[in-house]
Amino acid sequence: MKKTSLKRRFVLLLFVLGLVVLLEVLSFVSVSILRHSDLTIQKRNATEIDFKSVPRDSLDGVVLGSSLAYMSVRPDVIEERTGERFYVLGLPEEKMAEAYHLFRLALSRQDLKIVAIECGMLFQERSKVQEIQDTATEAVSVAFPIIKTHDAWKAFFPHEKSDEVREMGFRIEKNSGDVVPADTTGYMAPTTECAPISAYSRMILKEICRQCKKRGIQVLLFSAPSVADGSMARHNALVKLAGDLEVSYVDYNTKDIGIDWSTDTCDGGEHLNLQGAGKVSKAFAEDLRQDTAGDRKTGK
Amino acid sequence: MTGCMSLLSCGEEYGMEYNKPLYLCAFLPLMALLCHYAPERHRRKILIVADLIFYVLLAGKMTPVFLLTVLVTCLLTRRIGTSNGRGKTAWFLLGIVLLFGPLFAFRFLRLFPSSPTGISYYTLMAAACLIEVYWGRLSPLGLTDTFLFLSFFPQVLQGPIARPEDTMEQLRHPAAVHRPEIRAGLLRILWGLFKKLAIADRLNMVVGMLFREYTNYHGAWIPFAAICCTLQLYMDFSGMIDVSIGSAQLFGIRLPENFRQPFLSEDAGEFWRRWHITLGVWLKTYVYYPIVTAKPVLKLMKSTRKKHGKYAAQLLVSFLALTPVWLFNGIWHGPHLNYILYGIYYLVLILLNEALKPAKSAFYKKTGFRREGAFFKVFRIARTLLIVVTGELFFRAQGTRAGLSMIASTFHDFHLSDLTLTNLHTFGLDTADYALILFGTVLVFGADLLHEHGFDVNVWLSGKSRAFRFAWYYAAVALVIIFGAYGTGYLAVDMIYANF
Repeated sequence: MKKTSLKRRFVLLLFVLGLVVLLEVLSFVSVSILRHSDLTIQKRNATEIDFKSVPRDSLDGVVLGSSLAYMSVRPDVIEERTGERFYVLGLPEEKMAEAYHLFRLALSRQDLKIVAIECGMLFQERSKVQEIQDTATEAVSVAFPIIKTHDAWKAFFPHEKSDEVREMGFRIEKNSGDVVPADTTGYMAPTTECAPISAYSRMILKEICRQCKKRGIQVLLFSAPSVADGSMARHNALVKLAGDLEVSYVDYNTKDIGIDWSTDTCDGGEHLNLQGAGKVSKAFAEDLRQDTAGDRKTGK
Repeated sequence: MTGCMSLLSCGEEYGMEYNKPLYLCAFLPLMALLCHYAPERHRRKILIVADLIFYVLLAGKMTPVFLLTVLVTCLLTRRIGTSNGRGKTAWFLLGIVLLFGPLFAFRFLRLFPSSPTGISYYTLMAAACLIEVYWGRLSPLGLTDTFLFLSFFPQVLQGPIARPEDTMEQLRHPAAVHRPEIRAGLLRILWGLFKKLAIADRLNMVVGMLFREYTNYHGAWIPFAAICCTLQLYMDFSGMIDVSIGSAQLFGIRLPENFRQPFLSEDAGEFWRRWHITLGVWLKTYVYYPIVTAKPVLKLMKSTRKKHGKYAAQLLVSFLALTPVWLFNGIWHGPHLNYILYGIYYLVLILLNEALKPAKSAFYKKTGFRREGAFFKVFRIARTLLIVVTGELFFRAQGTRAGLSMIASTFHDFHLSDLTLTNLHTFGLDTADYALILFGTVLVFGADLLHEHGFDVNVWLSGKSRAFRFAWYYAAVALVIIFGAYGTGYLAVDMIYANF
């Protein structure tokens, strides 16, 4: 009886092991296919895959965040002005769990001096269960990337080619050159209120800061200009949060960097166009050069 | 306390539907393992706790309405069981009013912004308990029996609509679960997920656009929309029922089947004996038979037979019994005229079939054609498909006017050449998606055909080597993981029948 039970357990273990091997093989195959594919659907995975093609230990910093990050920060402008190489690890509506995963990926491949975080993603409204699911999905997809890259089989069928250009994570999309003026009524209207930041977002941000501190990496929080997302309530909350975490925070909504909302946005104020991104990137580079360069070089 | 309140107020955001990761990867395996390894005397308690957690996470603040239904059902079955004569009838009628009252208030009068989860399903199951006790076929129920029967979590969201004889005894004494049942359950869940995630959720984009913007489409697009929506409904509903039945198997509970290869039906009546079977059985048991066997109806039948013959009497009784059945069927889906007309559509077709029976028999006799011949069989299946697809078009349309307008516009500017790949891509699906829908549909219908001929995959697998069985299970897992429409680039699609 005991022997039968042991045998059953062994068979079960064998089955689970086989399943793990299957998922690993599928993951390897799908990631290999996507590395050489231009599938539009894989935009989200493309960031990670493209980042992995950057030579190891060749970057000075990364920028984490949503589309506000990858449509505002131009690594070419930063490199031109500071000589430092950046990569924007941004995803559309990047979730905190995804940001953390990309941060860990960056740490494993690059010897970073600075991690800049566009803070729009801290305000995403997600339920507790969604947050747990986000964390679990990221954890599982680290072990089995097939969960994220399962659509790789589509590469074998005729498909629409991606029309975006990616330059170190900065994305030039179809409409990046457009000018669609924004209505700025109520934009950054004064208030003393603080927008709510979930405990989960705080926890992940705190963890990123802790790990950066441990490695002597400087953390910079910033808000990219956006009429749709920028507000004084968010500004107030982030000033307080940055104070609590003892890190720098720059809000390009309040700082005068010459953004003209009648010419610098491609979609009526949600995102910047190429010209607007250029202005933010110059200011970003200037801030890096003036405020933080000394600290970073000494590794404080 | 605050935690409890926020739990109760959040409801659906917990994503506990059968196609969500929280259910599939956490809740179901955890509860199944707990039940599997728990001593037999504790299994029932574990099921009660699992059902309660599941319902609270899904329904949130609507949970008390469900619990009230459980209480009413339990108390009234006791009252009915201990009463006689008029008192018994009075308690029974009161019970029916108390059970269907909330359904009417929530679903039809829309007195509240949202309805309690699964109200359309558990109300029918609760009513079945009352009727069975009233007929003396079931003993009065205890509170835990009633709760377990009505709230069994794999079925509370969208059926199958069980009758007390189907699951009551199994839930009362949950038996030990054996490996073959677990294997069969897991395989059934994977198969259901493939239908839902790979086919139905992909079709959702096409169906959504065609029915939402129906004024922009005409001619060949309308039959295309009808076929797609029929396919989507079948893959979604039967897929999620597979997950329900498979989940229940993990607890050793056998739920009644809800589908039996419906697209192989030869007439509309047979279709409804194969599609949403448990609703059909409920209506037949608790509406059709009581009418047919009612004394006034039997009397009327007798007198009609005397005056106008057997044929007229049968037709009259069919009309009298089937009309409430089909009206109920239509209304049960929701307070929309097109649902009611959908019920009437099938009523007319079934009555017509009944009325034409002698003529059809005469035709086969006169011509010498074999009714069972392959040609006529295929013809009848094709005709039934046309009937079903037309019905689903009307059912899915955004209102009666939209349904009629879509049917009319089929005959306007009909060109099959409109259905080019370039045009099909405008729905947000690419060539690969359409290829997968086609492949998946062939796979599902192929499996249906095998099933129709008595093939049972679990019996077949049990005769194979362990290595072969493992390969089969791995293939099933890979099918769902690779081809499922989840994650990047896809929107999660709700279970269609959970909204009825």
